Amino acid sequence: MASLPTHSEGGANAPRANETARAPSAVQAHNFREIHDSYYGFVWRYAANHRVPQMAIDDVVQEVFVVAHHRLSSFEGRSSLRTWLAGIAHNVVRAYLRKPGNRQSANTDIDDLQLLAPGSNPAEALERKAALELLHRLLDKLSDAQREVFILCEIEQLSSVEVADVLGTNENTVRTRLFAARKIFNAGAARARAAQKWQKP
Amino acid sequence: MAKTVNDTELRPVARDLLETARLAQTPNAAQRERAYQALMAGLGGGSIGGLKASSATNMASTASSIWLKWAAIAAILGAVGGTAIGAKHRHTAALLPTVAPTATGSAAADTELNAPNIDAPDAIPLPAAPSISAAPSASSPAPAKSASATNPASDDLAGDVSLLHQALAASHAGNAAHALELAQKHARLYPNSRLGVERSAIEVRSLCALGRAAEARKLAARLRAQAPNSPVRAALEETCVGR
Repeated sequence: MASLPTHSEGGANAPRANETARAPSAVQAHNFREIHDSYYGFVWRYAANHRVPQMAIDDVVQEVFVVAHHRLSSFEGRSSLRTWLAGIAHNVVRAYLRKPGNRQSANTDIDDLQLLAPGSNPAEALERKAALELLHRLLDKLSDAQREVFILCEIEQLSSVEVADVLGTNENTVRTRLFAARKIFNAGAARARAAQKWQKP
Repeated sequence: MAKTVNDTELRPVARDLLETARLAQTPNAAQRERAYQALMAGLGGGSIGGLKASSATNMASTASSIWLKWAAIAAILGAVGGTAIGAKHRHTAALLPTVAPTATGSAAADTELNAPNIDAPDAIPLPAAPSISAAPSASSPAPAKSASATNPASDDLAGDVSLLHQALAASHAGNAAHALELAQKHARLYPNSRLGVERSAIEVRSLCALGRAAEARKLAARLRAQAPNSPVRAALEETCVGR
């Protein structure tokens, strides 16, 4: 169980080293439970940050793993397992959001359940809630293409090569979109901080 | 020499925000387990269309939400009363807005109870600060005991919060009459509650839902005068009393 990256618990970078060390062809030998537990958080965040409504996230995430379960035997290991799963998640989420009314509105309240990490206190929970609200406001400022790249690169820590693989585009396009997204995100974060200072001298 | 800001990379303040948000979006082991059990049950049935992960996690979600809502109110009380907020992510906290501009809409009352804006000292005239330094932890969710144990003056704080929770839940469930009844009961039992503004917001919202706009406007006017700088004011604009 410990051999696969634990995205749901660990930092963004550390698990990738473990994953890189694993031979792709060996992935098929892992039981599906291990894959699910290792990447559940990754898929969940991916759906949440794409504005899948809170009440539908569990179902969308489950559908991603259902597809992964059905296709695992045909996974050839030409990409990393995470990139492969990201590709499935990308398609499932995109299909879901394509249906009218399925995208969560910008003003929807954050689900409290997701704010309560083990050992956290109420103040931290509130801080996380505010962070999520701000993150979603800033993500909303990005175009769909920029948001996709930003989420995969900056939040999920995929490399530009991996993201290009997931999106079926070239690395230069990914880098260009990421540069533009970072610029917007940096500016938005700076404005939010300035506003906060203005409100609390 | 000062380091120039380079937009080819994220600024530290943006990175801290992402780190905090990422933590907030990370499901815990129990959630993963529930999701896996639901997934396996669905795969066993052999029908993707029949899968409903959300229903499998509803009960646990409800329980956690109730606890967290209490915890959020406890944090509000602690912060308003001057209790220091944990500074584990102080750098990120400095970035966060004191008023969430997106906190509008149908969840107005809920927004007030859970809003990150917990430092509105002029919101309501407050009695002595409650000491809720012993915030409930996930491993020992016993908020009532913690609160009363740390401050004998707030012996019935748990009852205060619990009743308001019920009113809020009824409001969310669309039962405005029951929400109003509970809020009014709360006003009778806890006339000096520190959550008076939030209670009034529930009352206003319920009155609007019941079509009693005149009463709602009257109460809202009193609320606006009582708490001119409270975020509740903004939320009221989304109800029938909005101007």
